[in-house]
Amino acid sequence: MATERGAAVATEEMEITESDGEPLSFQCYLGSLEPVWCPGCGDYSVMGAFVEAARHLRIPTHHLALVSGIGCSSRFPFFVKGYGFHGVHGRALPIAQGVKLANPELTVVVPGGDGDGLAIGGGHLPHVARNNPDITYLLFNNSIYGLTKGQTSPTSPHNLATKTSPYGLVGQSMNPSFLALAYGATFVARGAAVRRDHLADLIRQGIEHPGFAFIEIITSCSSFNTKHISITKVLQRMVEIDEPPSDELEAMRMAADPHDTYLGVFRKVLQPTLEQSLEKARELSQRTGVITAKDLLHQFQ
Amino acid sequence: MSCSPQNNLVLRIGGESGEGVITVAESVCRIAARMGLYLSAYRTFPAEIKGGACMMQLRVSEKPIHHPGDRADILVALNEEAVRNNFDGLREGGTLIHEAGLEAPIPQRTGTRYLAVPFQALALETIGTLASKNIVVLGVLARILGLPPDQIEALLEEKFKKRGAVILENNRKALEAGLRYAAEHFQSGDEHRLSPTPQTGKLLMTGNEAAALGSLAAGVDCFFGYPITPSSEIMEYLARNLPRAGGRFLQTEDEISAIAGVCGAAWTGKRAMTATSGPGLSLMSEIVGLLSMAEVPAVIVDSQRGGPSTGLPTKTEQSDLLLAVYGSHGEAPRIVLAPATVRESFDLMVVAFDLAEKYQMPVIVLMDQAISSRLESVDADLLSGITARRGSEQKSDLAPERYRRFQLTESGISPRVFPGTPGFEYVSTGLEHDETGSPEYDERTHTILSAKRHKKLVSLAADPAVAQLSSRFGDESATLGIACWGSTAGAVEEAVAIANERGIPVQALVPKLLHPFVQSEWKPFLQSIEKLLVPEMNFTGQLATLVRSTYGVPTIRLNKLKGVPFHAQEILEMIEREAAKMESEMPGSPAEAPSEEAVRITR
Repeated sequence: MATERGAAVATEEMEITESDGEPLSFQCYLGSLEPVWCPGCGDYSVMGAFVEAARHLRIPTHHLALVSGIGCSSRFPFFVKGYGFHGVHGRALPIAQGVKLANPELTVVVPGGDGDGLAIGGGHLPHVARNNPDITYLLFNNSIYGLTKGQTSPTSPHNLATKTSPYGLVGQSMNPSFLALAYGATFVARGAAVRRDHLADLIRQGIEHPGFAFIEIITSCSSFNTKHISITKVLQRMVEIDEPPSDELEAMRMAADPHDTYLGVFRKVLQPTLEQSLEKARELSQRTGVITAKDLLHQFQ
Repeated sequence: MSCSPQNNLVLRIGGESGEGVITVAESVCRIAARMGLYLSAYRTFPAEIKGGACMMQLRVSEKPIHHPGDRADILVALNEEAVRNNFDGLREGGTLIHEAGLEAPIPQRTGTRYLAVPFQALALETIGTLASKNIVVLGVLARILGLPPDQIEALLEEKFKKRGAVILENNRKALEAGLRYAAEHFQSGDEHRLSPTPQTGKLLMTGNEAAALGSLAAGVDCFFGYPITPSSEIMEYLARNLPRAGGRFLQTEDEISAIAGVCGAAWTGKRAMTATSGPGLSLMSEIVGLLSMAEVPAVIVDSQRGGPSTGLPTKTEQSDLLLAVYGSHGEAPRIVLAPATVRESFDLMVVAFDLAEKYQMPVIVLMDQAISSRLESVDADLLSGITARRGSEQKSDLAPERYRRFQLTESGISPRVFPGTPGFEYVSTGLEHDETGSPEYDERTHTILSAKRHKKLVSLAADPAVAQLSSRFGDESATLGIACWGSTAGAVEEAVAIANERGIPVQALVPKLLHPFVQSEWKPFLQSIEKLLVPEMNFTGQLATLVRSTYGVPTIRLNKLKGVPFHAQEILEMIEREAAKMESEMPGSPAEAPSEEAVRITR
């Protein structure tokens, strides 16, 4: 399937770990495999935006943990250099949560599609959001199942005709950013694959945000979703937000707006991260000292 | 079963859930352990939170025991339902102590000693409420069993001092009321005295507590879990104590998220685990396959309960064995362990973490409700000699550019490098992959990498670390053999001892590693016997199925599906029946392979 990338990676450059300084080179972040996405797929642009963010943040590739599930966008970890875990469908967030909890030093990023994150994995999103681990979730929203060749996804529009909805989709479309706001994610943003630089800035902010950063990325499937979301249509409707609105309800109204597609950061608030909360629990539990199994034996006498 | 009058006692207490039955029985256990006696106790719970029948049976002995006894010497019944449910569990010549003035007639049996005690009235008279009724019961038992007064006083203080002087004083009065009533109304023949032995210093714990403590001793770093009966105590114990030991604990939204968290944490190199029951293991099965494919270590405790579906949530069963061994699509090698005693619930957790890490695959530890909630005395030396054996996770000797995460090796075990290590970046995937971890679907790779993953099981079966895990007991020259696993072993051990005493040659094998089978324990055992009995608490005979398919030997099954553990008597009857058949088949007739039959206990 995928071909090995020929170009040698500038490993010596990766030795530099200070976060200040010149951006690292683009090549540093290229994985061992060439992407296998279709020509014209929006995922190329998202990958470009991610690398742009990572090189400006000077994240050492060995500190990167890219955790994904199943889907076209979930192949991301193979194409970007870093440690990667490509698991099963729908479980990327709880696996990533385990990674971050076990090793807070890692920069944990979860790339995945709308089916992976909102259909099969939809039950995990609210809980990871409320736990607030310091991970960045890139939700590629192309409103269709690409890898399985064109079935409806949770964000497909009502009445859409596909191979599995030949008489029109029965359910209504979900709004990922609106849900993330409702679930209490501490950073919620929306970008678009066609606005690469804007998206790179959102991803950078998301990675820098201490807590769960949810970034919905409107993208397109060049093979199976050419009819119902035309990129030009989305482009015409895009409105950029300069600052996250201070009013929560205003943020939700913007995310849910049926006419304009707001892009930018809807919410950015600081709450204790999962790692901080667990650290606090640990400190509280150790008020009387650190224990080993031996110290517990008296309970059984 | 025979019963010597001293220091050998089976006591059963039955009543309504919530009226303190368990507290009384546990108090007797605690004091007996402090007197230097061995104990094994078993309890049942209703599925409801308040109300419903519950009972606890405890057995005391001067020798180590792993079976809570068949029929009780003394039955304490606090209501009519407890009399009805448990009277058959009282031995001939035993003592029934029951609440006085029950409306339904008490069943009469010659030889049974009846002691009616107005527990309720005594509690009301003494302190005005029923809150301490159970301590009145404890007082009565303290008199009958001759429990040392200073031990009881100490226990009351431990239990009630932190709840305030008034409550402690009320319970002292309740205890006194029970003691006094027994002294005034019972005769010397009503007593069944326990006497102290010099073997003090024992610990008393449940299987769940032992498993939780064992995982702490094994150095667990991270626990992820979702509450489920009957394993929740493991989770609760670690919620309290894992942070104190420097680890991290997270209750997740479901079992899938729990095993996913374990997967993520273990992938970074930490020791991670979860504890669940059958319904949870069903949900986890897909990720068990992922752990196997991506070669990530994980420890999963399954405390089995009656199934399928929600089944009998608070009752015991041994029906998840085939799920543990095979559950998940595709062929996903994993390790399955099953403790047979409370002590082993501790020991095997240490083994589980070591094996998971060394062989880089999931390890499922199969407990069941009977062993999870069984209270047993454990020698205080359980921590000696434990050193966590970390697997070959350290950096490969190879230069980073030549590192292959899934490198083919003699043992099948590849060098593991943890995320965060500069220069070794790789991707772990559930897709079939080549040695570097890159997805690869060609015929050659799938064959070679499948063989590599399965080869680890072959290496494991030859590992000295697993050579001594099984136990074999009874008459080793016997041609009648029993194979059993998990909590059934205690009843088998006892039945084999009695049969041997009665001159019936029988021996038994209790494997602790149920997958893969260890040839060096099974082969000699199977070669030495002619007939194999397999008692299990399931309907289809799951160990029997594995033994037949692995070794092609016929099995005679004894399946109990009642939600309660085997009695030694049930096993003994099977031994006697099969031994008698063997004797009648013996003279001159050509040796016939025993035809397979499923004998079900209907009694």
